[in-house]
Amino acid sequence: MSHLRKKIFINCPFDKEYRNILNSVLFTIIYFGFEPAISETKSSSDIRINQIKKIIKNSDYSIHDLSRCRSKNNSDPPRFNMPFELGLDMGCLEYGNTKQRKKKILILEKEKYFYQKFLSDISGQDIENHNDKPLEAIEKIRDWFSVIIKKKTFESPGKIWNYYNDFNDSLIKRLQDERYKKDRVLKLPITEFIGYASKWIFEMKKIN
Amino acid sequence: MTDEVKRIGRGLAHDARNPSKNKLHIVYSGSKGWSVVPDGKARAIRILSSKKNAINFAKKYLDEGKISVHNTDGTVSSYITVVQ
Repeated sequence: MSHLRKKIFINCPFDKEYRNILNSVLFTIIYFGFEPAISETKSSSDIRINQIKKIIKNSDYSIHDLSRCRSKNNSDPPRFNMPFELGLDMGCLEYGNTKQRKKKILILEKEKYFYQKFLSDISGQDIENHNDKPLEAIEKIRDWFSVIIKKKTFESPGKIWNYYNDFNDSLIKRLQDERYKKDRVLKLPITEFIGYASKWIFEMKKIN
Repeated sequence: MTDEVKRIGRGLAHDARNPSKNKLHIVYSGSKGWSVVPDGKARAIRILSSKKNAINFAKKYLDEGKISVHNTDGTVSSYITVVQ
């Protein structure tokens, strides 16, 4: 299949409140055979924006989650990193080379139409809301894949969600064997989570 | 890659290849309710309106084994051991 191992840039927050959504997003991407590309600080000397620009240039698809752009309380400023990176990606789509102009972008939000209050310029793009629920995030990404991937049959969101629960159970058990607490699953380094999910999905697909 | 990461990876691969025949998952299914799903399978054997009903069904369904009760975010809230 032509989409296999193609890179999907994930532009999302890394805070602990969002982590359960991020894990479900990563699992779904890997389940469908894509490779998640995410900017994690590997060294304090890395210039983050350079990493992000490189990932954007090399990705075939992107998922931007704007659900954490708002401030947590009135005294905090809103968070602009995600809309900024979305802007970079849309610039790449507009002014990039032939391959980059074929990029497909999905924008996720928490509540329907909330983005219109702070980023009305993106009206007309593919924008979906997940209501802060991992199950709904899986549904939205699966439905987006069903449009962009040429595939005759498509697994239901419920099927992917049930596998995701099964994987979590297995991962928690294995982490507890290493004397971690259950919530370690929401604190794992992202590259480690991607490695574990890839391994589990690969083996699970062999027997199903 | 550390030894710990390798061990966890090997364990996960083993779990994925060898689902337990005596294990059920209680999984949140949005507006449909709560599903009872056999380990290693994607299809539910029953969907019930509440988590409590799903757990009760699973307890009766299993002669012996383990029930993994999940949270609405897919993580695990508790385990129940069923004995004859």
